[in-house]
Amino acid sequence: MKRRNFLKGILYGTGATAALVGGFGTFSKHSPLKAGATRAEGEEATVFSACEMCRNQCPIAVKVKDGKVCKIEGHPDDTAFGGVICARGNAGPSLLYDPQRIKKPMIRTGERGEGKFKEVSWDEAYTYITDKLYNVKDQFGGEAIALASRKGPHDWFFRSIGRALGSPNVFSHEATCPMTRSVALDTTFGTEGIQADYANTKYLISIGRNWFEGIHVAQTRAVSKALSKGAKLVVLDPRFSITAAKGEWLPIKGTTDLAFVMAMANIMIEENLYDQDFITHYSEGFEKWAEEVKDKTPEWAEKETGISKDTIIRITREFAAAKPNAILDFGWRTAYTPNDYQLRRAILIVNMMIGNLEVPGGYYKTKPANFLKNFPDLAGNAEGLGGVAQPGFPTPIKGRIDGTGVKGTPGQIIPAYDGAVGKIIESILTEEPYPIRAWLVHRFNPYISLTDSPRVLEAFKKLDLLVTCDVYMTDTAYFSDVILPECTYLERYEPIFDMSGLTPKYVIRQPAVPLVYPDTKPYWQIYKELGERMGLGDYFGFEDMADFINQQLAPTRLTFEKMKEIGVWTPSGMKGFYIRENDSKASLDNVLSTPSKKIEIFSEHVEEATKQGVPNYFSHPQPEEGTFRFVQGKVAVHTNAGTANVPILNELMPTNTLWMNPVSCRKLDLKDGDDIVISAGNYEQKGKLKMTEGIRPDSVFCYHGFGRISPELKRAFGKGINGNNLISNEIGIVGNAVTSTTFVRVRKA
Amino acid sequence: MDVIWGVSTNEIAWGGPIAFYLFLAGIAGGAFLTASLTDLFSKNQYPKVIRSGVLIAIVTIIIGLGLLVVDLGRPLSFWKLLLHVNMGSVMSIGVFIVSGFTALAVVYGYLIWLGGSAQKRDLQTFRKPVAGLGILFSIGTATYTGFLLSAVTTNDFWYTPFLGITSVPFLPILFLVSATSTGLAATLIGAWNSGDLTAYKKVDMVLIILELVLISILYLSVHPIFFSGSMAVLFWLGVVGLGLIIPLLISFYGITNHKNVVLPVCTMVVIGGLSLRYFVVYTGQLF
Amino acid sequence: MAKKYTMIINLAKCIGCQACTVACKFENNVPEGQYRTKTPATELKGTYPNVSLFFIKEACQMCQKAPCVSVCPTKASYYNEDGVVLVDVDKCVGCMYCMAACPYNARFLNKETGVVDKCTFCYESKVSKGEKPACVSTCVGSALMFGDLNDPLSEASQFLTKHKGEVRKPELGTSPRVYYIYEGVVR
Ligand SMILES: Nc1nc2c(c(=O)[nH]1)N[C@H]1C(S)=C(S)[C@@H](COP(=O)(O)OP(=O)(O)OC[C@H]3O[C@@H](n4cnc5c(=O)[nH]c(N)nc54)[C@H](O)[C@@H]3O)O[C@H]1N2
Ligand SMILES: Nc1nc2c(c(=O)[nH]1)N[C@H]1C(S)=C(S)[C@@H](COP(=O)(O)OP(=O)(O)OC[C@H]3O[C@@H](n4cnc5c(=O)[nH]c(N)nc54)[C@H](O)[C@@H]3O)O[C@H]1N2
Ligand code: SF4
Ligand code: SF4
Ligand code: SF4
Ligand code: SF4
Ligand code: SF4
Ligand SMILES: [Mo]
Repeated sequence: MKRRNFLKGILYGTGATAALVGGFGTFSKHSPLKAGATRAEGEEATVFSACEMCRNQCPIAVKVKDGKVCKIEGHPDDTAFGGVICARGNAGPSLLYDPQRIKKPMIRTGERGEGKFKEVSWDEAYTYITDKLYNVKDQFGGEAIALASRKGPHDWFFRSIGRALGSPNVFSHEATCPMTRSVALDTTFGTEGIQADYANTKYLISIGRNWFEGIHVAQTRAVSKALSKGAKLVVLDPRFSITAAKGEWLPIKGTTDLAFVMAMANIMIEENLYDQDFITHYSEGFEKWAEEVKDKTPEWAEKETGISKDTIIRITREFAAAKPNAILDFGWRTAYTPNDYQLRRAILIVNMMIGNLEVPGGYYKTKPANFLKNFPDLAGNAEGLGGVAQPGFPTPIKGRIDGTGVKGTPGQIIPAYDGAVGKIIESILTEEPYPIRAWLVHRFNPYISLTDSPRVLEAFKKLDLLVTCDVYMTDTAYFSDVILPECTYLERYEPIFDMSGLTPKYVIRQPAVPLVYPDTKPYWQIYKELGERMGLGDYFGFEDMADFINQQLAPTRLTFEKMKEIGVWTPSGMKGFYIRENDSKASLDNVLSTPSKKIEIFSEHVEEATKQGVPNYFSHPQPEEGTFRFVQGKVAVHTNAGTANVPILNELMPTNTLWMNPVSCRKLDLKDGDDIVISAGNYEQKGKLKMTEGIRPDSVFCYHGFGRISPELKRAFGKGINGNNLISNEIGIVGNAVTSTTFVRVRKA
Repeated sequence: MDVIWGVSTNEIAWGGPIAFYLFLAGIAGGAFLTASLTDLFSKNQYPKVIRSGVLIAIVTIIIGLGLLVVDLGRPLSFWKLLLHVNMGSVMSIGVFIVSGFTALAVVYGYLIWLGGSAQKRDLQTFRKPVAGLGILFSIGTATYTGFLLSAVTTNDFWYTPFLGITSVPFLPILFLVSATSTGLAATLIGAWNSGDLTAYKKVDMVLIILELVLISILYLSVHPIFFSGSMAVLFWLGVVGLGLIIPLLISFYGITNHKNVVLPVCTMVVIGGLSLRYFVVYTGQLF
Repeated sequence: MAKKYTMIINLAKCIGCQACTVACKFENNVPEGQYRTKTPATELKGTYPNVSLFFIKEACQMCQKAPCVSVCPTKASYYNEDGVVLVDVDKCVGCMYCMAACPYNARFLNKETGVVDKCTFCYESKVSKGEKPACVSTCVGSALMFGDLNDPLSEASQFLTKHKGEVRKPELGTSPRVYYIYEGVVR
């Protein structure tokens, strides 16, 4: 194909990037990619890839007919998924062919937020960004540039831009999401790579984890499977989630979960229900914990949590009786309170009290190839992925704005990879510790996702440069200076994903069809080209994604061709294993990477960083009469700040409502369906009321991700409640967002 | 609201056009009956009534059929109704009854129109047989509109049996009476200036009383839920009040006081008939 | 041998995720705003804190005495050899009589084709090729089961010998082939 050679010639030249047409942006010289090529009329094909309707990346089988994606199914060969994908995954083609996607790079022409843009060539966009970034760097230093993205495979490319400019301020979204859990895992086990074996558990307690709405297909299926096998499910949640509907619902007072967990520990010690052998053999600091929970009696916890002491005792006994095949879940979106981190630690400690590490139905360490190296008879199963070498990045002149890495402060334990993303807003507005002047945003929508949306807008307005790379004109994009249109996951290659669980697993993402909008590009190409334009080409030492993948696969026995053909790879015949399955005293040295090589119930580090070597209890204020605790959660048919405008998902659920208990409705003289105004301090937000028995009378709830303000999201614009309009930007101990401590008032509109 | 939390509501398959069609088919049948019976039994007394009846029958059935076709998901494929026949389907049978009726009405209308002129007298020999056959088809048309609905045995409202006798459906009877009543009323509107119509008015009163009785039976035989909700107003004001009670009272007044009150009464009866079709069609699908 | 296809909906396992709803749309090219199947929540029962809720998947019930078939004037609605109620798009004129007759609200007039549409058990695109219907194979809660009741060894037959399958509106005598399992839900 001559055209391809021609294109290849100009592809990485600076001038002709705008000339890219239909799908060629994803072509590689090493392997003409059938999947991306236009297919003959009537031809049907299946392309194995990975979903990106949320970041779970489930393996998929994309059905292509007449050159169009007509249907998406789960990858049939991945047993954890069983060919299943969720509603959002099924909705992929609706995003792919949405005429409201952004199709061309754009540069702002009007006032910020006025919505006036001009379409530009990629080249102009790169030039504009380059000039502005160097201006900021020259004037304020590289550290004045912040980068934030949802954690993912794009980080390698995206972040290289910021790091090469000498900025320490690269952030993931994690602080809004699982951060407290990650830090708890890290400080307790020395690794974040711990997962729960839901499918085999006999007793499962959720502290707000909502498997049936906050969907992760493999986890959701595993929990379902456990329930079918007779496992018991207990759900602590101020509102009646669908998960709660499938188990025993304990409507706990929000923010008091730690009291419940400590009382569990108290009862287990009091009644000697815990696994003393395990604790002595594998852990450190248990006495300090025992001391800490000594007065955390069920009577005390009843007052704190609103759950009767009898129930707490009963649940604890049932849980302990199921040991070690029981799970007190460590949560996912773990950003309820500033002290959420200590809650997550306490949860891990109570789990360890039943010795459920590395046993079926408990927690286990993920087993990627490099982990297998420690087990001579298993090591042959897989080789770790290689990578593309990068020159060293310049050492930043200043420390990070969120203080990560600073000894003797909580920053000591916050992972620098993630950081406290909410701090970007503070730094822009307060200029403390120094100002952020330019912000690059990738696959992230801070306006909806960070707390205190009005303040986020204020921060946007103060920036010299805001660049957003997305597939939609999101609320954040609407306020940006430059908007970079990415193609969707169905149109691009990405690096091989390591998705190891109980066994190693590699998954590929490859295009199912050529670019639908020819002027969009995959992220790796965008940042490589931008990097080259900025004179940072050395950091992008690959020719194209095929080259990148080949470099990744080089140490393995796999090839690019093979991965494209199979989509998902796991070592054939290898069964998942739990180190302590048959030997309850087996060494966990390969699992535990703490300084002491023990499970650190008491941690020196944490003591140093937070003055809480073992978790302490803090009582958070409870709502007064007339105010309500405001909680939020996921809904099965939407993803976070992402899918409100995806046609078919918008059709299924165009807006959200505020849930309120009938008792409270009566007091406020409100009826189901009323138009209401929700207020918190100076902030107000309009919405509609849903009267339901499924919530505590002292709380209100709404699904997250609505209340969009970008008029370009034509279906979602102006519909529903954006919870973050009401929540102030409080940053928790480990830099985490805080989303359950806000109290609101509600009145008729 | 949305798909997940919205309790699913019954959707209306047959709406306004069908209700209107049932109403028009009823009028057509009733008007034809009025004309042909007059023709057969007292031809010379009421020529205007005959002409009005026939004309109304032709116009309403053609408009009705037009509505029916336009309301199809695929209007241009209406001919398939004649090609693929299902003798078990009331609609399929109805297609033939209504087609026959329409043809007869047009032929009969032609004969009536010719009736004035002296030529083609020989054609007039067909007039009575056509009227007779037409009577059968007009009764067929009027009742079939009821059978169309009552054949839906899974619909508690439409399927209501007559006085609990399961083999006798209720709606065909009600629709036949209502069709005759509204057809007669429409015909009288068309012939309002043709002198003394007291005989017809008496018939009309009998029909109204009969219909009142039937409606009462219906009210007592079905679940009260069918008379609640959005259609209840239409039922009480449109069907019962405007369509039956008020015209009946005015008619009594008219007859006892020898006043000619054709127009208001007949208009009300016609509106009542339309309300009845709307009520029955919608209520049967709402619950 | 002719099949006796059935769908079994295990209500206790359904999480209302609507994966089935969306999968069906793409599998069958269902126009915007229309659905062959949906899985709405039932009304929440009880008072705080003793409440319960479940979801109920709605679609054609594959009646073996189907009102939609008997009323259809053109025989466009028919039972195929495996007992699946289908619509012959060539014969259908879109009179909507079947829609008025269906007691389960399973049919709709397809906005794009002008003919009546409804769940087909994915007969043509999936089942006749030995695959499961699209909604069944994507069911996140593993609440859906599909199989042949003429095969006593099929998963569906086996399941129904152990669990009580109920049809919706049995009083209507429509003999549906879609069974609901209410074990574990509060009605
Ligand atoms: N369909 C769908 N699936 C998703 C996502 C999505 O957007 N949509 N997002 C993905 C992502 S990013 C994540 S992080 C996961 C999230 O998965 P989860 O964390 O399981 O999901 P949430 O619905 O946010 O769960 C939060 C629950 O906690 C409750 N809650 C709030 N405050 C408190 C409290 O103080 N105590 C207790 N006990 N409960 C409280 C809320 O009422 C809510 O039901 O889901 C993932 N999967
Ligand atoms: N108050 C409150 N705040 C919350 C939450 C809450 O429950 N309550 N939830 C929190 C949680 S758990 C999380 S994880 C965060 C999520 O916050 P975000 O990461 O902001 O949300 P997402 O919806 O995952 O995706 C963000 C953006 O990615 C874009 N996108 C999708 N696909 C692509 C692609 O292929 N390329 C590019 N470039 N962009 C793409 C979407 O259009 C969307 O704008 O929000 C957090 N914020
Ligand atoms: S959970 Fe659903 S949306 Fe997320 S990756 Fe998996 S299939 Fe896609
Ligand atoms: S559910 Fe409705 S459409 Fe399906 S077979 Fe029964 S009557 Fe026909
Ligand atoms: S709409 Fe089609 S399938 Fe339904 S009754 Fe009419 S012709 Fe038959
Ligand atoms: S069987 Fe097929 S047509 Fe029927 S609801 Fe499921 S996916 Fe839709
Ligand atoms: S996919 Fe399964 S679990 Fe989800 S709503 Fe449909 S039937 Fe229920
Ligand atoms: Mo998240």
